[in-house]
Amino acid sequence: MHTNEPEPSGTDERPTVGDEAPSTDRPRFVLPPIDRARLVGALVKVGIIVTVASVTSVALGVAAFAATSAYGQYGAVRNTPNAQSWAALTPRYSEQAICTACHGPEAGLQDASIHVNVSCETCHGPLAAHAVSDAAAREGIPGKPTNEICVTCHAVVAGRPATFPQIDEAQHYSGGPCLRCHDPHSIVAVRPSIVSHPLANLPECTTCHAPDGLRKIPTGHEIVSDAICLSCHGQAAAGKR
Amino acid sequence: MSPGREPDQAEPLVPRIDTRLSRRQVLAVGAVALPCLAGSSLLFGWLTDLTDSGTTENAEPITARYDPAAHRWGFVVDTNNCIGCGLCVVACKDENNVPKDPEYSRTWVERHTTTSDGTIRVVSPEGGINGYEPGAAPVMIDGSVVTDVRFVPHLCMQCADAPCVGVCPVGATFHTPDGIVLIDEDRCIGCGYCIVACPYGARYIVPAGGDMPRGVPGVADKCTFCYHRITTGRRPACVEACPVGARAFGDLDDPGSSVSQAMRDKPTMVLQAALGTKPRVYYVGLEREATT
Repeated sequence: MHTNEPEPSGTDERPTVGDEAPSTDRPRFVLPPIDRARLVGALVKVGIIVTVASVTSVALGVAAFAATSAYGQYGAVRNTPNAQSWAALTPRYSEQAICTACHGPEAGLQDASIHVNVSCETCHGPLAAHAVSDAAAREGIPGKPTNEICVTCHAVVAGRPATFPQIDEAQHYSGGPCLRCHDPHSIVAVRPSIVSHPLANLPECTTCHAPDGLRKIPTGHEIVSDAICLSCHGQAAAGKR
Repeated sequence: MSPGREPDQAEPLVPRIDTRLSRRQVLAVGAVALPCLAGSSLLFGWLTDLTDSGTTENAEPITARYDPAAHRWGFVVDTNNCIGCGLCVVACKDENNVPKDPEYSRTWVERHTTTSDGTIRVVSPEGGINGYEPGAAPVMIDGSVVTDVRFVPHLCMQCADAPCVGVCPVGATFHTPDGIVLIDEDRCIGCGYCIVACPYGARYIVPAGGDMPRGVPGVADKCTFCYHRITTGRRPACVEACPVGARAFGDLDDPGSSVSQAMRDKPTMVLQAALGTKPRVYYVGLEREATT
């Protein structure tokens, strides 16, 4: 096919073609042109098939992983059993309706009091066990001592809404339990009795009735001893002896 | 090219590649690829159903009498009412066996003090579990007038697009069909990704010893809206304990529920709305802090 025979040379690495491959000293890898083209074409086809097969096997592997115990002893990803176990926990706080079932009279009082929207367990602590077990019922009421409970909400604290009733303990009579003057279950938060002072052992009148006290008196009012107060206000303070 | 060759008769340097596929080969590839594609799409749908049960309509019942798909829970925090007493934090720890250490809380109460220069100072001593020190609000701080002091209770926002669910590498954090984000303590590996991912700081890792909500240390824990209470007709413990109605809980689909009423009556907002987490906890009275 060639007009000129190429000069056989050991440095010519290009494979010779056709059936005119010269015989050289060392063997050479020789492909006829038509075979080489078909080989490359076949390689491309094999590549496509291998790619498809790889994708298929990966997909099958993922499917097998998901279908069997993906997380060992815990099974495939299913969350309902865990959600059910969360829902099965035992409450410690009960609810108002449960308290009212037995403590109707107290609840009735509280329903009419200023603390109507305060749940029983806010002050009396978590009592769900008390509601179902007689033994737990005898263990007593959890929670803080009374005065602590009161000032938890009713102390003056920066950030509390201005409309919320707060007391400054420095100005408020704090010589006894809050419950001596205040009844949290009463229709009015402050006992009506405080007006007629029937309580024994009240402190000096001026403890509360000072110009800057809890129940303010006019600034022009002379601050004097209890005896002099009572000479004018004896009837109002009949309870204070 | 060597001299003397006829160019039109020379072999090309790069042989022409026959890439044409025969009809048989095309059909063979199709026969393998089509079932493969169909199978993977089915598989993907199935896996999506399994891992994202929050969107399935035919959800399994959680308890015998509770259909999770029938509820859309919401929570409204009214900061205009909160008095910072900390009884919610106490109730939460009692109810859920949360560690007593103040460092670990499912809910906590912050106090935000806003001054005229726009600064908001946030404190939360011991998470507010023991309340706040008595005393009147300061008039001035660092030469700026105090314009607002309020308490801001925090809890898990139960986000509809929860970052914590997205980052969990083992699928331990998930949505229930009623929208609550729970943690499977058996799957959780305690890697802490969710704690970093949560923009609200709602999560902690349960320390060993002492009180442990699920009796398992080293796993993530957070507020569940008291899932055992809300699935049995009760309110969350913090809502039950709040003496001033600063926390309201209920079904947003029920127009008579306390949350629906609060959402109608008051302007509400969610925290860090720009993050797109779609929280289920709405706040009242934080308009001034909307940018934080």
